[in-house]
Amino acid sequence: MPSEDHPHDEKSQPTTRSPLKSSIFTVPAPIKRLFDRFPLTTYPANELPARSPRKRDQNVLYIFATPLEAIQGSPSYNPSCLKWQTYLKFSDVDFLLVASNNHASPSGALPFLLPSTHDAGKSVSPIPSAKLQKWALEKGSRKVEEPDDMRYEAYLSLLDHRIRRAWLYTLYLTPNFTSIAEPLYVLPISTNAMVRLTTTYELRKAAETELLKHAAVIDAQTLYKEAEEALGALETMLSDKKWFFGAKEPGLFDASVFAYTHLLLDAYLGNGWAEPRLRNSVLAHKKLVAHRDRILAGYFPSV
Amino acid sequence: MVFELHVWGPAFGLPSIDAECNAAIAFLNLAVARSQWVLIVAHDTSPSPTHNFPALRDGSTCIGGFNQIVQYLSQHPSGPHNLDSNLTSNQKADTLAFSTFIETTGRPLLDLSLYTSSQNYSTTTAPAYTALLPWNLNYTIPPRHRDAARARTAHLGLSGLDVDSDLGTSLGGEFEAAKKASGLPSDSHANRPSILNLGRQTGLQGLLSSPVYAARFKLDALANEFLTPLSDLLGRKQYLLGGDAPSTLDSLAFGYLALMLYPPVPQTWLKEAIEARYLRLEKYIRRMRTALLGNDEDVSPSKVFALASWPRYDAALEHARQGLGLALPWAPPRTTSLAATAFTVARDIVGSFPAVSTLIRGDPVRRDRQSEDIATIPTSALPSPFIVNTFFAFSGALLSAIAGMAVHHARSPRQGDLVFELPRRRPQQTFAQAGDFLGVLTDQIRAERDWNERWQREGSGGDGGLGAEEAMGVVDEVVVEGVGER
Repeated sequence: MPSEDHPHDEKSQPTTRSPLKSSIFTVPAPIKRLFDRFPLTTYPANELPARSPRKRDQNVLYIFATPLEAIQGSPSYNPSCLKWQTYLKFSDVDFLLVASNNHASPSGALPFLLPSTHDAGKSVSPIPSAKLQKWALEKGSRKVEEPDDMRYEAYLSLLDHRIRRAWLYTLYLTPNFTSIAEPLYVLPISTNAMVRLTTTYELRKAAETELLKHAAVIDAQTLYKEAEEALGALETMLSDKKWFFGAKEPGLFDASVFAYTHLLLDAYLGNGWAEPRLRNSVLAHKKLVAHRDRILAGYFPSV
Repeated sequence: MVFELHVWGPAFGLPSIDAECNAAIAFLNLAVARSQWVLIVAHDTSPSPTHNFPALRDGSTCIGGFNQIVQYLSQHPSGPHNLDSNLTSNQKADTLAFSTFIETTGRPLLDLSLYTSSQNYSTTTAPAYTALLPWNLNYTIPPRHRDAARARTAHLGLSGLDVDSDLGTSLGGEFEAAKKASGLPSDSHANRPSILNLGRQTGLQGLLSSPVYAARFKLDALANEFLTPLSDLLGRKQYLLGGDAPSTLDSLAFGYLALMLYPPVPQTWLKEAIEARYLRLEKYIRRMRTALLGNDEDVSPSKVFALASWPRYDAALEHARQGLGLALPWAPPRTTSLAATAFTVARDIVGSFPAVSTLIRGDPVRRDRQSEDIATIPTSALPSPFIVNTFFAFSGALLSAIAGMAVHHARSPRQGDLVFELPRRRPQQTFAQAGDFLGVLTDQIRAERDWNERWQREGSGGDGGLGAEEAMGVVDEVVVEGVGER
């Protein structure tokens, strides 16, 4: 307790040595007496804010979810979050879910993971989604092997571009925005109507800008047709195998496919699908539906 | 029926400056008989449904985009123009996957190499556009393509290429680019060498982590991400999907790969990557080009534009093409009238104003009416557009009404004591205040005088009364003066 020793030392000093030695560092006697009148009290540390991380001994994944769903461990309603949530489950990593939003993330986008630490004083840096795979390979109790197939990148581009674009269009630029994106992304942000309207406008504008990067016009027919073709190609590749690329265990590619197929097949997403064209084209691909059901049954037993 | 393929004009010894146009040309060259199609250099994208080239005109219908053209031709009644008829369903799925891969991974590479990199753009791409566009469009179309390329490559964090100096001296890394973008002063070590640069900047690690090499590593990694899967797919085969005839995928791959190999750019990282590490791909590209254009033939804009001086019937054109050494069925470009040019110039000038451009361009979203009719319209928890619009209309009307009143009053102020009255002369006001003050005093004095008079009437005099009388005279004078001037 150095802080308690300190005044004691100071008190003994002036009585014994202050007449002998006076340097500029010596506290003048009147001030010294004034300060000696006050007891030195150390207050206990403040309470942490209610939403600060509590369970530092567990991995915590921050995703888009409602607080209740986060506790239950339900699938996230955001494709990117759901992909990594599923992948971590494949890797057999224990983690908690926390409902969050983009503002909380150091990289500006969810998901990110705060790894467990046993030393509460030591801070650990959060892991953004781009590095989650590497982290899971190091820390996960089961190493998920990615198939060494030259077609891997090509089929991934079907998901990351064709299906993602159709998803962006169908979620943000059709009546689905009102029935799905609004209750999930807009209403929880604020109760103020002006803030909600601004958020709505920004979300739709962002989706439009993203789609306009790849074409000068956003043509619904083309987007849907391309997504349907992509789903067809994925189904052909899956054929009668259990997992993509004939792997023994599900991997990142299965998680990526599941992230879109599950959300599209979830009839109760938000307030339900108002414009079901993309959903119907997933429903038409029976093998993809079976693939989704396999993952849902095997890794999300609570749903 | 003759198909017309409208494309961006030739450049770099290739039939078009655009990757998708090259792909479409290669596809039609393989799939459609030579007498059934013509190739037209165009620059007005408005008839195309995608607002871009390639566009295929078949009578009155117009198809835009490579994939759509391939689809349209494969279902066309004039005979299936199809390169993929004998592929298995797995190969068809692979074709789709690799097509998407080439389009989405190859496009950013071309963007970086030909548009984002300012040195390559200014020495190679911009002059190539100058040769094939009319003078007025050079101010709009190349910058528009460059802006689109920048938007597509912004997420790669390589905007450091986009500086007006060469790679060797100061290529800012991501950090410098981000700093520049946020308007902070740049103090990179590359720009300002300091004698205090010890520690992190020294040694091999320091050298390798300098921005120049960081960007180069990243560019090479991007190039490898694109070229390795294609090289693996090609293997030792003649064509990407095997067999002895090229498929649709080969046309598309040629369109993108050719623009990586042939343009004579000063910053050659993409070309070097192909030539140094992917020799089989390089041979494949050269083989495909020979198949398309014949041996060592050079397509140039001047040759294509020279066709315009020939008579417009097939035999004469064929003769002219042979004379000029053009292998593809080029047709003379449409001449634009002076009025059309004037209209385009006027539209571009007006469209360059920020507010007007959004009005002119209109809504880029083309909805799918058919599927939206089925849908039930969900109810929103947000205020409806009607309420929002009414609110804005009301507040707008209120604001303009107040502003109008203010303007009106400033022009013709009313002659009353109203809010907007201006003080004419300052000193008067001070006298008026003095008058008010003295007025209060007068009341008191008057009251005192009344009391005095009453007192005198009752028969007993006093000093105060007389003093008050004298004071009254003085005060009255001042009061009268003050009130009068007021």
